[in-house]
Amino acid sequence: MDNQTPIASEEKINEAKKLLSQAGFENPANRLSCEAIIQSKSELAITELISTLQELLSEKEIVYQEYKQKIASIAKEMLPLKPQTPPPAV
Amino acid sequence: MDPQQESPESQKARLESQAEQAKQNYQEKVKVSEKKAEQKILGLSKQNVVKAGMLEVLDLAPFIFGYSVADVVVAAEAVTDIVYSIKNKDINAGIRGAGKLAIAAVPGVPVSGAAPYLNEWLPNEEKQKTTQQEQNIKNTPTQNG
Repeated sequence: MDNQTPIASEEKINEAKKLLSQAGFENPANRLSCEAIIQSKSELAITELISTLQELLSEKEIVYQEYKQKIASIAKEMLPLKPQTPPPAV
Repeated sequence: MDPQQESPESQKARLESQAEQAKQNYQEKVKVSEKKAEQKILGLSKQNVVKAGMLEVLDLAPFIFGYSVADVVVAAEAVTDIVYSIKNKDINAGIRGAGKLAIAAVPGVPVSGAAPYLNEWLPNEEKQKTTQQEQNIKNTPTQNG
């Protein structure tokens, strides 16, 4: 559409596609917007999209690790509450 | 209360409530991160070259041929408005999008590309009504046959 727009390399396009599949957007409109950006093949827009998705994934990972730790510590506290089964009668 | 003096039942209830709270915090934080990314993506989507990409994603690309960039952008704006309206539950944006589609200078732009997204936005009874109407249109015999 615009001859002045630098085209993104195949490698960059594939990276954006891979990150999009990992982002796990629940809203189809977000996924659609990302697909449109990839489809545009614009070097600038795809570079920006890659950095946005990388940021999102790293934030999600940090939040997930926090959640995992919290749940692990709650589970540890819950363990002794598990009803103890009596030892089998000999 | 000292956890040592707590009964096992109330200790279990307290821990379950903490787990639920942790889950809610997690979901809330993920939502905030996604919202931040969404704003950036929305900004990128405003570029004309991306709007043309939007048409390709919606399989509207064949209709681009023979029309100016300005024409295509009007059609793409209409579709992006509809997508925005679904995302933000903004009925005005939806109406604006539908209006733009109607006046888009690309006569061949099929509304079918945006229809599945509009359908998702409609309440269930409206969805059923639309599906029934579509079915009626399909079943209506043409004048020639």
